[in-house]
Parts: sequence; C-alpha cells; structure tokens
Amino acid sequence: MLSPKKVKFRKQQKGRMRGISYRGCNLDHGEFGLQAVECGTISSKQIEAARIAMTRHVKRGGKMWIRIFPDKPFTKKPAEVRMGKGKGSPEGWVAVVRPGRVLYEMEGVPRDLAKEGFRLASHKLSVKTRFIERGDL
Amino acid sequence: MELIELKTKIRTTTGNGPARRLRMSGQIPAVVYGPKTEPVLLSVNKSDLELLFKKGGIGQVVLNLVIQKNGETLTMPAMIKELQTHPVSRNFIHIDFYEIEMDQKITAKIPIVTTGIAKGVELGGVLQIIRRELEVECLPLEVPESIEIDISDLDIGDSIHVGKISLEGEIEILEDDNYTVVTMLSPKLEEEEPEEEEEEEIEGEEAEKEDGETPEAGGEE
Repeated sequence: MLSPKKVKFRKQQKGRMRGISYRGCNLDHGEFGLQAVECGTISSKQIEAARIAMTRHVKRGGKMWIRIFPDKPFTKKPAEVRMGKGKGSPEGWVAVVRPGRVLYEMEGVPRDLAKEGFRLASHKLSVKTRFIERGDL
Repeated sequence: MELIELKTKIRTTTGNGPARRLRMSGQIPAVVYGPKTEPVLLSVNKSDLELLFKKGGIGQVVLNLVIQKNGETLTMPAMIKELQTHPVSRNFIHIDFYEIEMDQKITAKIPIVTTGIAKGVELGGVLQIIRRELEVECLPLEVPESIEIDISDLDIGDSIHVGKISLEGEIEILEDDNYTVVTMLSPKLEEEEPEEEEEEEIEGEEAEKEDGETPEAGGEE
C-alpha cells in the first residue's frame, strides 16, 4: 500500500476540504481516466483495492497510472477508551481529493474494457467519480 | 489549412461578476493580443466555439477573427493561445487569441496520430504514446492537421524518436531529436502484478482459516 517513507510530524489536524482541484484535473499520461466529482478522503487501502479491481478486469496489457498519493495521516483511539487523554495513534494514510482530480489513468486497452475497469474501481472508492477520455472538452 | 471564420463582439465589462453574467447568456469572455497590437477584450458565442473545436484541435486552428465594433467589422488572423476550462464541468471559462501575421512563421502544437497495428501489440506488448503533440514551426497556412506515424514495424522494446519523423514542406519540428514519441513496452511487467495479488489472496484465505480455527480450538479446551 502507498504511504510516505518519512514524515516530519506523525500526526496532522483534520482540516477542511473546500473548492475544486485545479491541479491534476487533466489527463496527462493515458487515454482514459477516472475523475473525482466530489471532495473526500481516499485511504491507501481504497487506492490499492481500486487498483487491484482494475488490473484484474483488464488482465493483460494496458498501462495504468495512479495520480493521487496518500500523504495525510489519520489517527484513531483504541476501542473502549474514554474521550480525552490526548490524540489517538496514527492508524493509516489518506489522500485528500477535491472535485476535478484525476485519480487513475489508463492506456493501451479498448474503451469498453477501460470503462468497465474504472466502474469496478469506483465501487472501491469513497468519492463519486466519472469516466473521462482524451478529447473531452 | 483554411482559415476558419469566428465572429466575436467587443466587450466593455471586466471582472468576475460581468464575466459570469456573460457566460450565463451563452457568451465566453475572450481577449486578443499580439506583438504589435494592444489587447482587445472580446466575447465569443459558445455554440460557435463548440463547432470550431469539432473541426480541429485547439493548438493548430488558424482563425480569421471577425470583430464587430460599433457597426464596423474588423478581421484579424489569430490562433488560440490559451483555453481555460472548468475542471469539473469542462465548460469554457476564457479564451486568449494571439494575432499572427500570415507571412511569418508560427509555432503550433500538432497532434500525433498512429497508423497500422504494431508487431509488438500482436505479441502482447503495450503501445505507449509518450508525446501526443509535437511543436512545429511553419507558415500559418501550412499548419498540418496531424502528424501520422506508421507503427506497423514497432516491435517490443522499440521506440520512435522525433529525429525519425519527417514532414512534408517547410515544417520544422522544434523538439529535440532524441525525444521519444512512441514506445512499445514489454508485457512481462504488467503480468507480474496479478501473481502478487493471487499470493495476497492465498495469504488472506489462510489467515481467515487460522482465525476461524482459533475459536474452535479455544472451545475444545
């Protein structure tokens, strides 16, 4: 699963997700892509699950790019622990996604196969997505 | 390439609010400028633009801008310098036109089109197009619609560089000769991943079995 190799601070504040993604909103590598249409956080587990769903469907051939990286840690308190006594321990990593962000790209596969692959992948993600292709304006 | 006519109007209002109102009324704010002219604020009909982009790509269309100003009509040869679109809705936000001179060479981005079925694809390779556009220098009326590359001889591991592409007429490619345009990737790297997944699956199943066995064992004790 994707995670940073080294971070300066172990824990981060939650923050707010506002606005839209002006960076990473175009297809840069592949012919087809999966674009987020709402904001949210995508965990490293979800990114990996979606990738596996796609590669399984596409089987052989094709090249894929993951355009997001989970660089924000999230924390969790242990079970049956009362509130207070400080912030919980880091539990995993998430990528903050805003509307417009291209999450995955694919190339070297027929359109139908790519679309179905992305549909399967979208079920593993916690944000609404849509299929985009090169030439869309 | 022929000049495509595009009707525009002079715009007097500026800023976010007026621009939004303009977009609501089916017009797109635009500006035209050039090396010898002062910038002129314009507005373009959205449906005209959509028709224009159906005819050709953004980078290589040579336009004949028809500017309507106080009943007078001015014409100006221009190209699209920048097109801003909304990241989510993909609606047009703003267009920059750049005035050109018909007797001077211009730079344009030309899309690459591959022809034929590569040998490597039949053997299971993956065709990767690294550069989808090439920047060329030529006269405005000589701008090609696309650059065709024959990939039928491309085997696994082969690639086509800019130096190998030859164009007719006085068209010069501005990119470095060593830049790779198209390459054929080996299928091996792509096949490794499913094997790993299967291993993970097996491990997962084993773990599930172990988990399932533990309570039973505990119950027997």
